[in-house]
Amino acid sequence: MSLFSKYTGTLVAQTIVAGIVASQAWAGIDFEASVLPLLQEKCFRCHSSRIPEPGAELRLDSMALIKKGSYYGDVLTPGAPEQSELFARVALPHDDDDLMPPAGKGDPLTPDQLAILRNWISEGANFRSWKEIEKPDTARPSRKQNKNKGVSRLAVQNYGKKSGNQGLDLTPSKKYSTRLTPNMVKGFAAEIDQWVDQYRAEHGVESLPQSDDKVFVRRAYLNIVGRTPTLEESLSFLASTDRKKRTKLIDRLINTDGYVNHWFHYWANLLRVQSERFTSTIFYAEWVKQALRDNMPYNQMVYELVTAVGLPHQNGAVGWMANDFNMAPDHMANTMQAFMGMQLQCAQCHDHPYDRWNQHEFQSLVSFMSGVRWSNQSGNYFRRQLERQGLTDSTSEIQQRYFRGGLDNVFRYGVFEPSFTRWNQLPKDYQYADAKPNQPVPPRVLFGEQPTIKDSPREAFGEWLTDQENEWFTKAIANRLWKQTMGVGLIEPVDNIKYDTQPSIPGLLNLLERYMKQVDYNLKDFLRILYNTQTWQMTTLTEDLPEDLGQYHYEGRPLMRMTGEQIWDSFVALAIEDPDERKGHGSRFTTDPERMRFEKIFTSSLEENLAHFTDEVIQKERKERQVEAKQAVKQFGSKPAARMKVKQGRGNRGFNSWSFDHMTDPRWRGMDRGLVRAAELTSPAPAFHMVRQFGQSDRKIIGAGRRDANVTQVLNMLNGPIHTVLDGECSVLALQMGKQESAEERVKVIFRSILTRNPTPEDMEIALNVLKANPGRIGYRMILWALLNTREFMFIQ
Amino acid sequence: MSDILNKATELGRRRFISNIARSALGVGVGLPFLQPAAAELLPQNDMKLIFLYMAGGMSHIDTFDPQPGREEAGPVKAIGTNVDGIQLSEFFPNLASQMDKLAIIRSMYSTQGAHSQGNYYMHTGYQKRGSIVHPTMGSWSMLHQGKINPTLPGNIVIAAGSDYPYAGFLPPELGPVPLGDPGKGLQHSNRPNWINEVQYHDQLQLASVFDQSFQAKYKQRNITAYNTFYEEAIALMQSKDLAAFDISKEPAELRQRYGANSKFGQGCLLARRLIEHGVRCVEVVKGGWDSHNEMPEEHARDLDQGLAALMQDLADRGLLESTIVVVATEFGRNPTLKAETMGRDHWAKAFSCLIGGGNIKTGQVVGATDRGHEVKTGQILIPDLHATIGSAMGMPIKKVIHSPSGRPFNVGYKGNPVADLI
Repeated sequence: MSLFSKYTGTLVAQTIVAGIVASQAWAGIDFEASVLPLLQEKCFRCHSSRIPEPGAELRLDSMALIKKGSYYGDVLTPGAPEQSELFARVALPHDDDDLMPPAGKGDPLTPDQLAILRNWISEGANFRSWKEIEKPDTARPSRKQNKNKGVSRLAVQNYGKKSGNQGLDLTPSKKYSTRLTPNMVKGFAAEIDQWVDQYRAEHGVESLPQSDDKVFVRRAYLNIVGRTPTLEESLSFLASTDRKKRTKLIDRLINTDGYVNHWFHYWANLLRVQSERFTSTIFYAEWVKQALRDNMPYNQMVYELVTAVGLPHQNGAVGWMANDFNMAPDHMANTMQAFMGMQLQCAQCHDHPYDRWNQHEFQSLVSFMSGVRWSNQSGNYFRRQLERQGLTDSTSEIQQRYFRGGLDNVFRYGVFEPSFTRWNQLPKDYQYADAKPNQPVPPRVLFGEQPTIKDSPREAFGEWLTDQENEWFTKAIANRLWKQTMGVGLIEPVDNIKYDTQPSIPGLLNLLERYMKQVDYNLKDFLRILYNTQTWQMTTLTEDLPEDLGQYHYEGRPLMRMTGEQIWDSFVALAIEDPDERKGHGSRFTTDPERMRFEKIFTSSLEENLAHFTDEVIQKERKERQVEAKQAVKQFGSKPAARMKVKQGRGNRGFNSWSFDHMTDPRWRGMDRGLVRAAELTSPAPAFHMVRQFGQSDRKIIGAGRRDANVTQVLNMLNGPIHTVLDGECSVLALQMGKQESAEERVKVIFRSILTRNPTPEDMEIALNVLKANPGRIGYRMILWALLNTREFMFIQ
Repeated sequence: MSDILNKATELGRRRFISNIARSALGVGVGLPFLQPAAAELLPQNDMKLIFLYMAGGMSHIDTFDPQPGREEAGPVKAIGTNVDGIQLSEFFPNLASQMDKLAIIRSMYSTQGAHSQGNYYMHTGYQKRGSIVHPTMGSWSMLHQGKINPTLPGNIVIAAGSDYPYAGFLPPELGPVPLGDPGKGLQHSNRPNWINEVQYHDQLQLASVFDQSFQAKYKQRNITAYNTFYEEAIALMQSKDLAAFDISKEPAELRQRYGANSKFGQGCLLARRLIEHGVRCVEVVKGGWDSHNEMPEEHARDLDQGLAALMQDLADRGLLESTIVVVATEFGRNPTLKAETMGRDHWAKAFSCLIGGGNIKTGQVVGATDRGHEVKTGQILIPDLHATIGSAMGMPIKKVIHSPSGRPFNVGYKGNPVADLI
């Protein structure tokens, strides 16, 4: 059901126009807030400086260029909309050949949009302070931009053989900043809210007020940077009288490392990042973090993931495919599930029972992977090479063990695409009449134009997958992010979209799809729009979500339990300073020298490696950690006694890769190395870690995280070490408390730090009673413990 | 409890205590999903499972399919057992006198010769896929049969590896609670020592006072679920059943018999204690079997001691009739011995497992190999073994359960119970 009736002719439009003009006349149309977004949405696709050959040479992305007009002359006559091409061409009847946007390039303007444009020109076409669209970093970001230049796509895994054409691209990656102005964000957000309001109205639900500032600030921190606000952060927000403080907070938070450390988990769940599977898998985790840090456009990110070749130290993006070792059909099913929101696994063995896809179509899709070879993951590669080359006897035991358990790992996880000699075959039990068992099937996409295959079938597939014309690529991510921010997807479940699935608000999903394209898949910009909606900021639903999510009509924001990562990160932020700056697992491995070292091993022959890694070198390397630790002690004084301990497990291999900042950095001296943000733990965290107990995905299958209760979580909250960490003498919270003069003030600090609210008078009375009965530190500890064990702490309003 | 909190919390306290009483008495506080799905179909039983997993690939030649005097055996001899005609390798002197309580399956066959895939297959009965994780046997049992003792977790795994599948696509609460060191019991189940009991109860009350306004505002299932689990956790801490996790309560002589310095042996002892207290399924993982370059004698002897003690102990306590015991592994080892190191590489074409307890026909050998190389008679696939275990447990093994993505699964996939065993 559409929000607006379809525009049927000028007459109708003018009637509506008159009404809107009347209602807006008092203020005048704000070009930047109202007109620019619609030009961007409707016209920029063909008429902007960023297009190599704009239609009729018309560019609409600066005031000067609009005034300059097109090849044919002026397009804007202030005060006379009917004489302005800019309006006249978009207001034509829909069957007119001259209508803009032309058929296939976009929907005609809505009556409201026409009204805005017309009115703005009637008023004299005032641009106010606007001069031009902020210059983008480059021309339209190419999806191939960050591609691993140095690694030859056709490189055959060549361990033990000399090969000249390998190389490592160590140039820094490109960064993408946010580009939408606050006014544009506001305009976009308002249109989303209109759809939601309309949907509510259709179901007799009244519009909801915004949540208050206390709820908002907690919600913003937890959802954007993944932890509760510290005392200072919440106080400064609450004290501010700036009318735009919410928008400003959103913009500030989204540009911090906290955003990376929080959103990493979302992507790690989706992309199945297992950093400890092999030594080199850490590079996959690092790649994802870097992509978030750079704000890499989503379409480029996916293109790189689905086309990556090489080993993880060369290109971390290979992790996406390397995960599905020797399982091309599973890999294709995962790819479609993650990036198209569709489940095709069933069609692997038979026609899909619940959807339109058949086995033949699925196997044709798998054919795009025909040329792929995975690294051998067995871990015996080195031994077999030794045997093959007759070098076993001349290799020492130390060397053998070193290569088998260590360096061999460098080669165990990777993807190559040497050649494709034969297409994927139908299975031997293929049962349908349209083809024979074992028959090779050439690659075909599910719909749309068949892509042309040049070097690599995967690249052709990647082009098709991430193309703007593939509406489900964009809709799937828009729907996923809508669910992640709003709690319930417009389509549920988000990764089981069927051919005939209808979103709960179809027009809204179309709108989100358009926005995603308009922001060029800039994830931060897209999220800024969502966070600025009334819908995101509305009050919290007090009842349960209906079992049937189709019965949810935005009666309130769903109350959600914090994820394991949010709980842990909130603890960490209460305990240590600058948590986003503290590096943890893998930080020693993902450095450029380390990648160079891996590359050197990879490009050296077996003899060269054996000659280089003599027993002495190996033993020296082993001692390096101890030497490094000793140097830290020498430089910074004795090893500090652990001031805070968290026994939550750190993972095995991870341990050696931790930094020594607990000795060297004054902020964290004596702080347990495990007190880092969850994104700096292993991915997934060790099995006994509270992050896991609270439902962190094991990252083996897409999006497997949980938020439900179990008894081990509660035991950890009741008897675990966390609260003792927080009131250690040097925690951020303890330092705050130390600054206070009275018991009341200290109680307030605890409440504000944990729950972002003041104690009620009854809370205060009983807290003071507890302090009286339990003098000294223990009373405060009890209060702290009690607050951490409330549902109010654990659930995000 | 001290009186400072009384005024504000009298009501809360009474409710709290009555709730604890309810859980301690086992009155239904479980969540809906914890109720057995097939309860109406099956008579409720108290069948239990001890699953001993030999991680790394247990050599069949050097354990339960000995080849005395043949080239394949190398120097390893065979010994007789208390069942005529059944021989074990010489590393199993203790188990030899318990052979009547177990059946040896010598005709196991798998297609998965790599650890990760093989381990997964043996734990779930399904081959590893990139798009779904299948549940372990214990998780299926929790789904179909539920807890026996409502206070304790129903499903536990001791010393699981990092690649363990747990509940797979089933709700996570059905999956095993992982324990690390069997000597240390259940993580975080004791009141920390910085606080005394009175204070502990005061702070519990304090939490419910601070939480009053929030809980009054939000009446939601998830919040109720947490309230329930807080009650369960407190009940568990106060329950005498918590002692089920404490093997230090066992007599020194018995601990010795299981192997005082053996983590696996103590794991077996803990498994028995847990089963005795009404835990439905316990798995004990023993690593170290990946014997490419050595004879796994040490591990075999470790298994011998722990398993023999377990079988005798279960029999002594009358638990064997209601407990299925399984010894399983991902694959066997190559019958061709590497003479220089006495090691063996992976071998999935033929290997051995053990099963006993319940209504299993024990004191027999099922299937045979050709000197350990190939299965000669009675080939049994991993799904068949799963179907056998599931059926011996009394589970509706053919009952189809749909994953959240709508795909159909059942216990043991397309496997069938082995007729010779049941």
